[in-house]
Amino acid sequence: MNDALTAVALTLKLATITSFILIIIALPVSWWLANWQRKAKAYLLSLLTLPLVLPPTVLGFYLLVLFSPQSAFGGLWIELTGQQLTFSFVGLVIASLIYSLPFAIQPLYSGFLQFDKRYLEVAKTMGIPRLARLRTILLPLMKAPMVVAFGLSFAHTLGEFGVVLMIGGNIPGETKVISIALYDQVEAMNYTEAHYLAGGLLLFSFALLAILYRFNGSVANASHQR
Amino acid sequence: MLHINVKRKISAQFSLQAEFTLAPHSQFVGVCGPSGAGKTSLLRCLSGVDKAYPSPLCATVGLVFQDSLLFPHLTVAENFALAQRYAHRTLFDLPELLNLFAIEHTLAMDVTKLSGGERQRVALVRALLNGAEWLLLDEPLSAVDENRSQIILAFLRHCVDQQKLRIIMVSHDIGELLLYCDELIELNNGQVQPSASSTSVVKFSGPLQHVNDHQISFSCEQQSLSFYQRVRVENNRGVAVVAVSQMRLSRQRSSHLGVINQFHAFVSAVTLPTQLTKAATTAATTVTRTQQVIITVTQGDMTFSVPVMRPIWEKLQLQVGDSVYVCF
Repeated sequence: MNDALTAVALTLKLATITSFILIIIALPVSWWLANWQRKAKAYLLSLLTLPLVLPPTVLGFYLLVLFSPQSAFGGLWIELTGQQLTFSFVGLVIASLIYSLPFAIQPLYSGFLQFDKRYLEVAKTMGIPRLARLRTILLPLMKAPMVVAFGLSFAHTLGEFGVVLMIGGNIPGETKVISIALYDQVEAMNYTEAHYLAGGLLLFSFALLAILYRFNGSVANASHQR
Repeated sequence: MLHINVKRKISAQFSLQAEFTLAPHSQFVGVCGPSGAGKTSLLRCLSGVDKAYPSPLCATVGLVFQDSLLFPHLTVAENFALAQRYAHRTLFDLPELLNLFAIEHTLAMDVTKLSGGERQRVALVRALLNGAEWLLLDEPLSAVDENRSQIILAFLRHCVDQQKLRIIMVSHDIGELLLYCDELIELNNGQVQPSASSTSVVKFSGPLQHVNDHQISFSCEQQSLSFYQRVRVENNRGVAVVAVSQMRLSRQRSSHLGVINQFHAFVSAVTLPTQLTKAATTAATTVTRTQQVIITVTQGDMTFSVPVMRPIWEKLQLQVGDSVYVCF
């Protein structure tokens, strides 16, 4: 049971850190994407959406190659930090960032597409400085897509399995997340523990998505009244 | 003198090429023209919101869009507070504006709960509180009722006369523009029309004779005219506009007609429907329009054209040189 709790705590930690970093990365990227009109945009969007359709093991395999101490990136990382990326929590975070990126980009991207930029123009003529426009106008108006992006990234990171299996392995407290722990329990025929983990993840994910849809629905209704 | 030359490609099919000069006395400028003429694009270019196109007005500029664009995550009061916090100058007291624009009740409200007319009034007040030197208004009162919009326009005119600000206003209502503006710019297909003279409304003005709460009387071409609406006072002169569609013609002065004014003039031209040139019969010409006879009348310096239905013209038997009373 202690093993399961450690896995739960690790999973929540991974999902929280990943989602926060993703929002910070995805906000400027989505804004730029929504305002960028070039032919290359289709290819860039495909690249960013790739983790959505690719088998996680494919992504995991390439990340494993990239993170390995023999590769340029992996070697540089060891030189800089003294630790290797494969089979480490930091490696898991980087992998999750890539794996869940489309789930953060997509709501923010469509949010920015729908955003009426004339709000910012009015704010500009009102003499509101650039940073204050961002803080008082743009970010508050993007609150709903930001919540959805955070929630989806979080939920998606919770369910990560293939990528973790490839690059993280099975180290308790470091890389052993719920889905891996569940796999372990099933392999060891511990069905009671497996039920706790599987059922817990199922209920939690359902609750999270239900909250998101409720929230999204109330936002949609409010904007309908305008 | 302020010479303005706006050249900008708006889309593949449309480019704006508006050049005009504003005289020093032109403090309140009206912009009219058909849909798609480039009125909104002109305001955008003048406002400098486009990073690539700095404002040629060389001053602080406030912009009010027709759809108001109040910040939807803030209440009305918070919208005002933001405008005041970053105000270029402080020109007005909020309570005074709230009263005049009749929006005291909206202060605590979410802007998404406001009606279209309320939203436009709030947007105007927000711009006034922000205190820019130029206000660019895009159909700012299109959803506000006639009475309130007359009060607001009179107030804007008053502000302009006190040299608090200058205004460029787009409106589809030419009468409104003719009445309140110093100058009218007519746009068509992205260009300024050289002779911006509207034929659908007539402007009367003259020395003031009598003013009370409801009515303003003044003398125009030695004739006394009285107005209850669409009238204002400027430098001891009365100014009023009347749509030609509201005018009726009569051969005699009569006390039996249900009209206030009977303006005496002479017929200077009669244009029959068959004589309508190709230019006049544009795609917009309707069946009823082709059955109209255009009677042009002249009195002193004033000349204007009144459309009458063909059967009525046949009954009146008006010819060039005839004496006629224009009733409205």
